[in-house]
Amino acid sequence: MNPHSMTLLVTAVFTAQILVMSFICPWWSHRAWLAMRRNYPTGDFPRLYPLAPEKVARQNTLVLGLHVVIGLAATVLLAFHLLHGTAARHLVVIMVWTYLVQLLPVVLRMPLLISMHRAFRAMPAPAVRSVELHHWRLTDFVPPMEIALGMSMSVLALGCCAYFYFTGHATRGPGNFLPLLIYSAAISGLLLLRMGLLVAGAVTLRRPDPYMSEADVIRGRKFRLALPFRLAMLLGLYFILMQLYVAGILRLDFVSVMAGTSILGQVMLLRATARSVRSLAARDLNAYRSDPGAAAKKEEAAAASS
Amino acid sequence: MRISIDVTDPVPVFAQLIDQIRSAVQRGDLRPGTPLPAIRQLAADLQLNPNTVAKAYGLLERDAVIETRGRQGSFVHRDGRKHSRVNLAGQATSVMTDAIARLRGAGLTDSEIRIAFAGVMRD
Repeated sequence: MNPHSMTLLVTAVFTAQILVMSFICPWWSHRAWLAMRRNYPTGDFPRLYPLAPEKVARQNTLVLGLHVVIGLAATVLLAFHLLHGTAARHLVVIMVWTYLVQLLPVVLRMPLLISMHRAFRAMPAPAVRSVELHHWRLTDFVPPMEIALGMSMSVLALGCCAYFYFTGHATRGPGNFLPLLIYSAAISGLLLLRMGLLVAGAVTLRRPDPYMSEADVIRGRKFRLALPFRLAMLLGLYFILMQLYVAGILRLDFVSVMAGTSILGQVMLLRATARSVRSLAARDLNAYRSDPGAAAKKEEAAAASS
Repeated sequence: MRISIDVTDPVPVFAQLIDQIRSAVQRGDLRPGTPLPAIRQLAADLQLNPNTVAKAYGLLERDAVIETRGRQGSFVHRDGRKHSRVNLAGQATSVMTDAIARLRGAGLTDSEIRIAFAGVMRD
């Protein structure tokens, strides 16, 4: 690839990264939240909003604003470097750093998501509860091929780490990639541990909230159980390729590798956003309606006290 | 097969679980060898204390309606259908009804019978 095509490629990927991470995904999520509030008003569906909706709306608006500010700053940065004719090799490094900054609002939103998750779980359960008396197995949710591939990729990634560490590839010469090895080994090891616990059936899956319908609980479980295996497949392959590349065994162009990393990140974020929006649209939220019996009882109690 | 519990029902939750599992085995909805959910998983799904589910499973195991195979979990007993028809609580009620009738016949008051029963249970 000539330098001009390289710059074009990086510009295209960088532009897509700015659009996807700072504008499309945040706007998509925000629109879904607004639609939910419109279609399922707080008065009729109080159990859908265990935290004050105003507080959540305020935080969502703040995070959306931060996304836009970072997106605009990244656009200015890209335009500045394009005008100054920055080399593709340098521009791609800026793109990766921008990616990390663009992730910041997502990280900042985590405490709100965690407290919302906790509030859903802490809701008092209904008096009558029912469940399918079925012994669920991991293979009911995740295809055996995915289980095998996920675990194999993690083991291979760990094997690669061990090989490069013990043969001295990682610490020898100018291309020291020990931090990459440590990072790969830690992530792959954690994923392998989680997958091992899931395969051994040692994990008890709790209901996300007491009112969620059975179909939604099963759907959510399917996703939660499949996630470590899919991540292990993807990240295992990525870590192996990165280690082979850094060790000089796999000859790849640096710019292409970094562009590929950004594309992978964008696809993952797009998929995660699409999934959360679609699952919200597919869910049966009638179980979160206010209890008419409870309202009548409240009115009766008020009438009796007056 | 769906299992459902009502925490406002005067029947204890563990007894509701036992009744429903026993009936399902008796009807043939749960066939011999059918695996049952793990105690912790069923407790999590029904949002109960695991000890409640463990107590129900323990009593069903005592009556040989279900069996536990180590770490593999709990399964419907191979003779579970036959054993589920044995009603130990019903037998106890019948024995006690006879005993109370005899005691009343002997001239004991209900209070005296209650005190005697409580004393025997305490011992």
